[in-house]
Amino acid sequence: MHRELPVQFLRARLVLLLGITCTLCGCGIIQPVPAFERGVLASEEMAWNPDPAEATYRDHMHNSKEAAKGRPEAAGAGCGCY
Amino acid sequence: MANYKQGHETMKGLGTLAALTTAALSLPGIADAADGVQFDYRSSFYREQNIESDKLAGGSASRFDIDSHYFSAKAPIDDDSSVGVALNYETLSGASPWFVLPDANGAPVQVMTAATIEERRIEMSGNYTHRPTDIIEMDWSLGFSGEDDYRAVHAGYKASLTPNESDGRPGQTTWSLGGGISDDVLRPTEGASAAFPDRIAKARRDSWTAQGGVSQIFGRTTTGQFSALYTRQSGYLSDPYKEAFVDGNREQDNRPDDRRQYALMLRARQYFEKIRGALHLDYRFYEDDWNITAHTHEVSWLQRFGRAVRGTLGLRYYSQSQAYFYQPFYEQARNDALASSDYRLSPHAAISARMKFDWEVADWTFRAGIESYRSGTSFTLENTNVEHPGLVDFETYSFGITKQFGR
Repeated sequence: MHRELPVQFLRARLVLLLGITCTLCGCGIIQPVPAFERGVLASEEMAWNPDPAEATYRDHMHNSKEAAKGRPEAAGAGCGCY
Repeated sequence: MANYKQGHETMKGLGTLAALTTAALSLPGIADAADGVQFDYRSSFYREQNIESDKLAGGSASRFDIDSHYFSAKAPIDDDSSVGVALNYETLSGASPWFVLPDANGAPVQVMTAATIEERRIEMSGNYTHRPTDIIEMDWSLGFSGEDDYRAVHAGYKASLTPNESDGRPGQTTWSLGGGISDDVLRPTEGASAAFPDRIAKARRDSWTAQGGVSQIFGRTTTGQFSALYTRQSGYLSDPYKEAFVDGNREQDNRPDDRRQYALMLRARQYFEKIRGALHLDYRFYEDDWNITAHTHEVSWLQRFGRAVRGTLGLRYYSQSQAYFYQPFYEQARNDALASSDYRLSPHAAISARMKFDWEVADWTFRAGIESYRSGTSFTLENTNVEHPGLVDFETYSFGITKQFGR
């Protein structure tokens, strides 16, 4: 049976995630970090994609075998026609 | 044999589109782009394992190989802007799943094509990035992907904002928005021919994507990110090279001509200074109006050895439910006439493991990595009674060289 759009389902998850975020902020988990203390954050090891070209290739391979899509950094055009 | 490229055309448009809708989602202080001029070359070799003999009803047991060569260059224009160009060239060869039959016991078995597929794909893209102020970054992109039977043109935009803190410090929160469109045209081999009269001769498909996200610095060594993505596809979303076995007859793959996809993503990064390693945790929830729900979990460990070498170990787990119209084969036709036996729409899970090393020598970086991927139904999150015989296992081997100037 074709399901209706999962708007309510997604909305519930968004509320939950926002609630967790607000809770973390309220509990003081976010610590002030001045610019001169961001050396670790600037390292490649801490990047969302330490190797963007590799991430592009991997996402393309996975996407061509699976139904799900949606990683923001997903890339690598073409079909995965194999 | 002309029946090559069994499928997966539906993947083309979205993959193309996704390339253009990369949200900035960057954090202040975390630089993704090169400061100077950078040249990058990658070669990757994708190798699918043979299909098992007890799952094969005909055609080639060997499957697909792909060799990829990727070149890219990035260069600053001035202090506030930069440009990038990329060229990707792929050669594809081998055999692909065609349709599924019931065997004497009623279990599904796969019919493959002959191993005669020979295809080339070329993709070109460019982007322009501009920072009008210290807290805003914008990026525009444009690209083209072409094959003998497919071409896609795509464009994208993304922007991010990192407002300063109330005390004037650089911000710790980055808000991002992005979007993209893709216009794809299919011209299947031997479409509407005497050999394949039911195969389309030409069709179009369009896609657009919108996404947004927020990244947060939680501390000196901790960051997190939440993002959401919506994609709408319309047009010919079936696979012109695939067939379904319906009531004893072979019919063309036939899917809805509209698809809405949603994804929510959470990512976290934690650095451990004493051991010079970083933990990466990624989770993605996905759902679409074809009734497919999927969960993707990935954990990686990045370890620095000395000043020059970095090692990466990663483990990924993926599980999905099936599309509402999917069946391995159909004992009778559906009332809506939809039919698809593509293993990508079947309920299944996959586990992959990878290892990679990056070695920096002066302004050069040398890279080598391997990934092994296994799919099946014995480890899905939801109970699955029947495994699609065409599920694939594969390995990828990747190498790369990056040269940085003026760093």
